Amino acid sequence: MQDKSKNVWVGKADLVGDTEFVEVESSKFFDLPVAQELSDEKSKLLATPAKRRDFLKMMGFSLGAATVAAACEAPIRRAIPYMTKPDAIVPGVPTYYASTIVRGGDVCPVLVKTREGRPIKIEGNKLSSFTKGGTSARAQASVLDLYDSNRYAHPMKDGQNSDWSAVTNEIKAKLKSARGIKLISNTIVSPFTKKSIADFIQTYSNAEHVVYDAVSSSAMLDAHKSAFGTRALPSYHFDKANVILSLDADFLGTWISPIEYAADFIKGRKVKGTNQKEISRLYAVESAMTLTGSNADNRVVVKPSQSAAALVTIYNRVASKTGGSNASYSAGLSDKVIAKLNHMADDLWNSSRNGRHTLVVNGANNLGEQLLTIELNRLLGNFGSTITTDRACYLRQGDDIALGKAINDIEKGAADVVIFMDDANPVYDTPNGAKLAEVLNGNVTSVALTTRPNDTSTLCSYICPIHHNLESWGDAEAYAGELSLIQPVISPLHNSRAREVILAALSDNLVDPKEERMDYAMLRNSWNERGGQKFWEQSLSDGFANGSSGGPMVLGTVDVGAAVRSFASRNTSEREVKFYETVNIGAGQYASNPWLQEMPDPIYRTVWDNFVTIPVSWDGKRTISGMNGWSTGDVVEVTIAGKTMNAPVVDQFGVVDGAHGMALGYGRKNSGAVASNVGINVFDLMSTDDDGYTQYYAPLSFGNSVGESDAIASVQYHHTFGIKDKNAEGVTLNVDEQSISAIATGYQGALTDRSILYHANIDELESAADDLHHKREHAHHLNEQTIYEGHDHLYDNGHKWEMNVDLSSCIGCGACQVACIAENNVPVVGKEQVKVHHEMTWMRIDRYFFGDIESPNTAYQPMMCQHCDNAPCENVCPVGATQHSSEGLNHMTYNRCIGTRYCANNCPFKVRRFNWLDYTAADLFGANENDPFGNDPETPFYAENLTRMVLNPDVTVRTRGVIEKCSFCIQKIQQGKLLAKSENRALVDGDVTTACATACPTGAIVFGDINNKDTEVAKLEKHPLNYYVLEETNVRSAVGYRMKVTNRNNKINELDA
Amino acid sequence: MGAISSPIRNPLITGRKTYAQITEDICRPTERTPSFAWVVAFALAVTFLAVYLFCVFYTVWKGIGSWNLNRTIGWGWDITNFVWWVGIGHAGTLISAILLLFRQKWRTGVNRAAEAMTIFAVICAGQFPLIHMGRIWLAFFIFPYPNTRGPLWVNFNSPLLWDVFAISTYFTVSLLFWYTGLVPDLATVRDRAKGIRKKLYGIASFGWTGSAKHWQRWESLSLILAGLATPLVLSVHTIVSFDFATSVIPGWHTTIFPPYFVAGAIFSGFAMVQTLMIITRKVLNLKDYITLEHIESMNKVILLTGTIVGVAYLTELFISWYSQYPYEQFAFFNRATGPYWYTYFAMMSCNLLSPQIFWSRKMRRNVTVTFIMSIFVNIGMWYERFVIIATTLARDYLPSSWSMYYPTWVEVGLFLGSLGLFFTLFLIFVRVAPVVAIAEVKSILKSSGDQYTEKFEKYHHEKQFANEASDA
Repeated sequence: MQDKSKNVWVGKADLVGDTEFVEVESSKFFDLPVAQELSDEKSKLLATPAKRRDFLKMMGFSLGAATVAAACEAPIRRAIPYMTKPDAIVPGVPTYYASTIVRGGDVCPVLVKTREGRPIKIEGNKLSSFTKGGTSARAQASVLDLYDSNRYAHPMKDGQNSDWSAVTNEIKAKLKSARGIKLISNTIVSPFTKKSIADFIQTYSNAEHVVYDAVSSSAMLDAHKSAFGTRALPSYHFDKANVILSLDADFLGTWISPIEYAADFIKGRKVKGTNQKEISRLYAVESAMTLTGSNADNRVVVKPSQSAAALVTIYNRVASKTGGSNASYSAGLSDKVIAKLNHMADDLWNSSRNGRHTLVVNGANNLGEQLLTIELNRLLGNFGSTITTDRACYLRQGDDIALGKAINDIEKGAADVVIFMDDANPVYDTPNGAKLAEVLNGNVTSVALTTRPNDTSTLCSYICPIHHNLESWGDAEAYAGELSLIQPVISPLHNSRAREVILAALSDNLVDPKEERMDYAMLRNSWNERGGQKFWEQSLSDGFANGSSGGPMVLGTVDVGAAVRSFASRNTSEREVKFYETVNIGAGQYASNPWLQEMPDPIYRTVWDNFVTIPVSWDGKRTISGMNGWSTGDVVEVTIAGKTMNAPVVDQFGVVDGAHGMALGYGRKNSGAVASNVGINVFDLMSTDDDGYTQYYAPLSFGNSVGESDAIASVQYHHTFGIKDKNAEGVTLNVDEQSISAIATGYQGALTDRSILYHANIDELESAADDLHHKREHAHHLNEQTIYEGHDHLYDNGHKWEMNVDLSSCIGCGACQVACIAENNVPVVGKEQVKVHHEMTWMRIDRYFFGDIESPNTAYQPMMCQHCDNAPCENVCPVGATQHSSEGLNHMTYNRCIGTRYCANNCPFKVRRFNWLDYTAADLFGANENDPFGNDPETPFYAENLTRMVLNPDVTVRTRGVIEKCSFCIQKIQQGKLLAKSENRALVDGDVTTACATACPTGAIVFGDINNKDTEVAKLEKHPLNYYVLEETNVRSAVGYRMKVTNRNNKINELDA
Repeated sequence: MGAISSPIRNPLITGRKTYAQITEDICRPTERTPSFAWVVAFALAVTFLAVYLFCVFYTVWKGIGSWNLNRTIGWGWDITNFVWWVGIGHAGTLISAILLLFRQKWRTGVNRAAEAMTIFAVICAGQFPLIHMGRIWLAFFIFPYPNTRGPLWVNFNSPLLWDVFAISTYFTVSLLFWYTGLVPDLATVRDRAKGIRKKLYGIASFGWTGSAKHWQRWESLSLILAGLATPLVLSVHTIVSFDFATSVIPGWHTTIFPPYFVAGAIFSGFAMVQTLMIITRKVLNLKDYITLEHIESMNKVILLTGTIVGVAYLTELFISWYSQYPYEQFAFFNRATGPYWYTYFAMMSCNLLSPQIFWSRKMRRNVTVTFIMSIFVNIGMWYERFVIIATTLARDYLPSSWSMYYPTWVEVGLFLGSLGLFFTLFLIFVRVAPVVAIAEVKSILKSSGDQYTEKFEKYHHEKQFANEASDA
């Protein structure tokens, strides 16, 4: 009661702080939470019998603590008060645990946010040595997988529920009499799991562990083995390279360690001022457009089969300058492509001199190409500078050849027990899947250690459900010696076990069967050699530890002649299709996550489907049309690798006729409500090369359109912002503007005069900054012509929240978008709803192509509520449901909203989202809940109690009929303020940030208080490249954007002109 | 009404009617059993009304997601229908109030039906802002009622709130005006009726006896209401246009909207009056009361307002070019040539071009042409609202968000259904109340009845002859 800051007192006793008075006063009202009061033994209250008010408070508290940390099967309905409150849980206050999200070779050290014992959000772990706090869309979405209602809840035998002892004993019996045992998994980065596999193999000497990756780096690993003697990958340092060449290696999106590479890459691309002369340059040579290709300054498209020819062209050019040995191979590359590649090679060579550095990465799964790439990097002197070998990368370990052999063994009967580990799904995601499926149906004992049904597990005789990542103990070693820990943040929701425990039980290696968490005991044992209790605790708290890294790998010699020999046998077809991995659902391992399914593909802007990409062309007059007159959503007959099927097409800039693309990861069967039967499976269309490596392309030919034209759900219909080409008279024009109208020729400037997207090449940066400055001055001048006095001064005091987005840093990976969905309870609506543009995402990443029509550049523009100080949405709401705060935030009061959608119409940025249907199952009546997956389930997705556990309790779940939009994560702002207040200090930069800004791996989004001059956002507002979208409309938005800066090689661009 | 009418004016009542005949002609439709045509029309209208009710139920039950609106286009057929119906609802009050003040005698033949049409049109219009709400069960939030939430008031800055007041005021005044006019006529029907009808009409006519005092009060009330209604005719659509004019969306944000909308509203209102009157005069055999004179007068109004609207269209195009504002320029370029070019084409041809045939007197006085034209104008004005609302939203500032919009069956059902609602009400009206204002028509009989105008003509002719003789 005696608070020093309190200068109101009642009587003398209060003033002097009389103890008796204070005690009487403090027992008058319950200020403290009931739990705290009850735990206070000295309190008089305990002595007195509970009164009616106490009862009510108890009840209120128990309802408040609605979800109990551990072991709650039906968490929503039962409200159980804590008998003894766990230390870590304070209702309403989130707790963060360091852990690691691991899925095969995708590793992301994270902090898991839990509320009342429920993990609800993933944040990056800044202590990580490689991701440094960045996340990916996949990592962000992993929390939803935990609550997937399709997960296996019990061990199963032949499709029937069983129990652990029966299943374990039966499998054990089979193992003991087995002729051969195959353990098939994707890459395992955990030393702990590897040890338990080794222990298992020790018991069963006829067991073999086979590792494969759906998107394989097998040839790359073997190439490094032949060159270095170690089957591991080196570390790449994209930040140290001045010129980067990516040969079909989507290192920004999917290749090996994209979070790390993206952050490093962007370090070399930051523009600090207008006098900057250089940023790093990215060349991409690829077939289908990937995230990396779209971010490249210059991009060359070759057919997938021509990748070797492109590499040889570059290699020979470089080799000719160093006197290295020439490789003789060429495969029908056009003169223009060869000229472009030569320019790239020249640039690489020139840049590798004088202390500048280059880096060549290659995604091909071909031994010769990988060896040649190593040799090219050696010629360019990249080893030791941009590629280091003292820190082996373990993120890819798959071995295509071993898997092929294993499947043969099983087929021949040499192995009759197969254990699929960690959701490995080779029936689906290998070219031999069909063969394997056939074998599994035969006389083979198959066991799936998996979390949820997949194409493989549904064929298995035994299902051993394993813990989800967030329920598990474990570790991960992405790079040699850099260990991150996995700790459980919730008790297992289902009757699942740790994979290590299952293996130990099967091989009678269980340390202490009575231990409640045997996996913990085993992990702890396996870490004993690394350090004592203190080391363990610190590692657990950080989520990170250093171990021994072994020695560096030493580069041997590469036989170039042998490397290129295999190229000669390659066949090139007139048209080929490249099977590419998408940023969101990967090779299908993420397909069961609805957040990722509904995350628009960054490049194609589609959801819930794969398709064949087709090029667009300009007729020289006023039409841009897709190949054969087809456009996005048309279904056509295609023949891929001899199989004919109907597939939808998407017409897209940057696609070249002959080199088409089709995404991996779709068309899964028997994989639960979300993943099953979405799109077309392409794995069975793939082949292996002579060495046995999976080749991610196939010949393709088109038939006729089958008439359907509405097959694709896309979130963006207009794709360009100034695409140039020559017209019939040979004049270079913005042809997208020419072709913008249905019945007339458009005019120049229809798009590019808009103050939405500014971009410049680095060599014209100063003049572009000047232009921008003049445009902004003009906008300011226009904005001053008002009869109303401004009210900017209202925001001079206190906080004023603003955001700044660097368009040069945004690579479009979508981590922010999924983070926003997770943080703000944004509903999934399903493909049919997205088709009619009912997507609910609060933030989107607009993708615009600009530049030459054949090889355009791409700009990604994250777009969310701009929190305008002159918000057009606010004054039009008849009921005042959207209001401005004194801190410059545009608030939305869901309770008050009656859904006239006037605000959404009047929003220049079109960021307001309306709940068209009952997307969140919040309606009074269950009959009209939206069914996002279109499979008419008994309980709709959002009505599942399990699904609802992922909801953030700090954010209202919106009902049908109300508008919602980005709130700048108001709940996080509030939390930051409360934290500062409880620590009795002013807010500092970093106390408050938004979900999108936290998730971004490249630091493209910065959020903060603009009134605090020390914040980064306040400094960035003064950046000469900063601008506000649609500034001349005087809406006074609060999101600044920094101009997109590219570093094109003009010599290459001139070839297109 | 003045007893004197210019001799060059054609008669407004033909057939040499007596007062008794007027009463008989106009009251008869309410007294006999409905004709077969009426029964068929009513059955059709009620069917459409049922469709309407079902679509409303479906929309409320399922959500606005049962329509095809999207994140870019928040208003489509719903608000198009709203503005269209409100526009139609302008003719009645214009005829009864402004033309009354201007002493236009021809208004007496059509004012009753036009006012009824106004009221029914406003009823139809009022449906759409309600149905289009995401949470119609909270529609009462838009009224500034005392409450315990703070108290929490409505947003007086919002044009949508102004709409609430504008439309409800307009509806109230129009209803009063219409009913006031009906009272003497209902009494007439009552006097001719028997039994339960007599009782009901007795209640409805408030015990009208036709005393001089009644007439005096009735006249004053009519005049006061006319005075009140006159500014409303201009204000309602002005305020409806503010929904768009006060926004920031290029293509909406224009100062020309108030006069342009008012002209358009009168234009479409008169077209709808024509449509209804041409059918009514034929089916109810009222050609002596709704004459070619009436039709021609209304066609003149249509020509005038249609041309005003056309000038507004062209002005918009000019200003968008002249502004040199890229968004504005594109908005209008896109309207005319973008993916919805056909709606713009329909609007231009129906509203600007087609009424120009009314420069010809022959066309103005041709009933078939007039009827077809009135339908054209109704279509054109619907497209005008669609062009303004949907095509503008479809392609606004950020190209990334551009979208397209086509209605679902629910939206089409709501539109067709609202026609059902309108015609159901109108058909009931023609059965229960005199479609032509008996008392008012009688008041102009001696100035504009054909037997009298002929007499005047003769008189004037003789007088002129006499004057010329005396001059000589």
